[in-house]
Amino acid sequence: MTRLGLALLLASLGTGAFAETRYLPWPEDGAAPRPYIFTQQHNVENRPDAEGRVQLIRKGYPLQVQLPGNPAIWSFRAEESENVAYRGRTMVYSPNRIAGTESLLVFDLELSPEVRDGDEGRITFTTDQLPSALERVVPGGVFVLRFTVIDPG
Amino acid sequence: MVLGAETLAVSRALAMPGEPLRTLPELRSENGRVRTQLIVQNARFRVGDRTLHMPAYRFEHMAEGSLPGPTLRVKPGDRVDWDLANLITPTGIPDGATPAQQAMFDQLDYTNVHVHGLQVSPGENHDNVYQVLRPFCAPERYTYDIPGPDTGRPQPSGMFWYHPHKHGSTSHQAWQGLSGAIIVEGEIDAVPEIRDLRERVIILNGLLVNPAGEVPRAAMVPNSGFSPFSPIPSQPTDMLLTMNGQLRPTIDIRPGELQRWRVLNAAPHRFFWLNLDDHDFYQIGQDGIPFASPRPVKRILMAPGNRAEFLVRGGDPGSYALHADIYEQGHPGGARPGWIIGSVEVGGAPRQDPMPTRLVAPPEMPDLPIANRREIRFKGEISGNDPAGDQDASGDGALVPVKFYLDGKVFALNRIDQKVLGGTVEEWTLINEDVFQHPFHIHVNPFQVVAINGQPTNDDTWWDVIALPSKGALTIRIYFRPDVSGKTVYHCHILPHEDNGMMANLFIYPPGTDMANPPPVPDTPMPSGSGPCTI
Repeated sequence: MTRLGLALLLASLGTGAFAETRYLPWPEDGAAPRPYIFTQQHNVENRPDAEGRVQLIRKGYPLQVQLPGNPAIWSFRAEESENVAYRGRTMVYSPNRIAGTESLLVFDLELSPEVRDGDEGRITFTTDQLPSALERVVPGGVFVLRFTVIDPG
Repeated sequence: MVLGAETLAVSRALAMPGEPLRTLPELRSENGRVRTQLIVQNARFRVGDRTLHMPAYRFEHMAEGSLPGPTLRVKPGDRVDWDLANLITPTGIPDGATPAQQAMFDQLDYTNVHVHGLQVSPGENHDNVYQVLRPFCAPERYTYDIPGPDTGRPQPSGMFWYHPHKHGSTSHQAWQGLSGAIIVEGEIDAVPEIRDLRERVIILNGLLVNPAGEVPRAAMVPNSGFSPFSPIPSQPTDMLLTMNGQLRPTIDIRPGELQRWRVLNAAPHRFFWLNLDDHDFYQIGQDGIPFASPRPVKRILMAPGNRAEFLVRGGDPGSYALHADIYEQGHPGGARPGWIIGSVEVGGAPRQDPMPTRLVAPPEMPDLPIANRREIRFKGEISGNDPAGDQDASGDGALVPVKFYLDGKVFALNRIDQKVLGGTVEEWTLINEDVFQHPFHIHVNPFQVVAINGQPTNDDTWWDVIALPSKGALTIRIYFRPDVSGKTVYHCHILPHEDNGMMANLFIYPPGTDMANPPPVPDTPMPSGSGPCTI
């Protein structure tokens, strides 16, 4: 059996992430926890090439979603999100990086305080003014990130 | 050395903030020769209050790796032989990655080595960036004959460097700090006012680490914030800007003392705009090529890959911050933030070291007609909206997180993008269609900038890396030395750009070639095999 074949077999035997990896605690060395940052490239909604992508999030770390905008405005969809709490928005000057956008919209979020190891969640943002430069990576102007909470500690 | 064993050693480096700047280990040529192994092996390093786990370089005689790598000191005319040994084991694996997903990124542990700025052959087993060495395979030989006086155009005396150049993994390994200085000693080292100065070899790194102290083993996308890249799947990342592997070390100097600093920006992405409070810099060389006389400057901008060599005179007693000033380099989210990277402590008995007024005669551009003029266009796409392939690629294929083009194309191993003739002078106009200030780098031969946006510069500085103006153009003049021919590359030295396409092939034909009908260039063999070797 080839190496790739073996790898695929092992992957198929598992039930997602938990079958394959033990999660070692990260050291608590005094550094402030940095956020998990998600950009438009992390979107999985309506993206066939993102199928099977697993995003695990450790408890205790902040979350941030950064999406190109201006004039497009992205909105957090609480009713289509799960196990996350919205904390605020910043608009950062970022012209001439991505066609049709002048800024980055930076959204701060955090896991809901009651989440436990193994809980699943979802983050959803939408826009009605999707720039054409994002029409394939965020089809329909719907950004979704699905995740599973882990708590190695 | 026992292949297959991973020895994990905690560096002896003094790596806490405020500790004295570390002197990097050195190996010096003897009787015109260096013969060693250059070993890349995982190690653990204390940096600030964190422990990092990443590959590090060491020479054969060293018991443990060094972050950054040890310094090599040579002279024009020397021959360097080293066998590169790859003992890298995977780090930075995302939580939940299946073996198949991990295998997708096996190539991040493949490596080779490039001697940046040395005017040596790019051929097989020389400065050949097409070689690929997988972990735990047999070491590969690299030999460099550094041009001596007998060539009529010796290697200039100054600071050069070595680093991995495996296309697709250069940025990952640069974020791991894999880099080392090469000091070519020569005429400038005999200048009386310089000869006896205290010298500092300083390597600036940008280490992109997750909370485990490892560089994420994943595709990376740019983002706003202090840590400028995020992996897919995401992991929290931090950016550590270090000097000789240390956070904010101190450099001692006496009032009135002149010191000679040789500084390398080995970070794969971050520009360093150096600024020392209440002190000027007296620059004596750029990218390893000395000036005719010192040039006083307040700040020095270093794109990734640049070297600056300068004198610093200690001022009044006290402590002074050394800054990487805030700089807008075109990254998403605006300027890269300012950062204090170290400090200078002035104290002790005063001195009054004389400042040199004359240095050496720099190399001259040969007085030859311009044999050819070319245009090269730089363009990046960071939306994540495009399928794989060149700029005009279309279809419903998998999207690529980022893409970077030269002349609308991503790198292809066996497409020869430019054919030039050794012994000629050419002018290339580098047109930047982006706000990203792509630093242009070409292997083997340095160049001079003759115009910016068509306006003459009247500047005889030699470079081997130069940042392009945002939405502007530089015209450079290159002399292709006649005694070095073969296939090599030019590329953007923001290494995540290079890894994602912004590199192209150059073939230098030997003098006498009929360029109207040049012989075909044989294909470079595709690397065979995958994953680590088993021994």
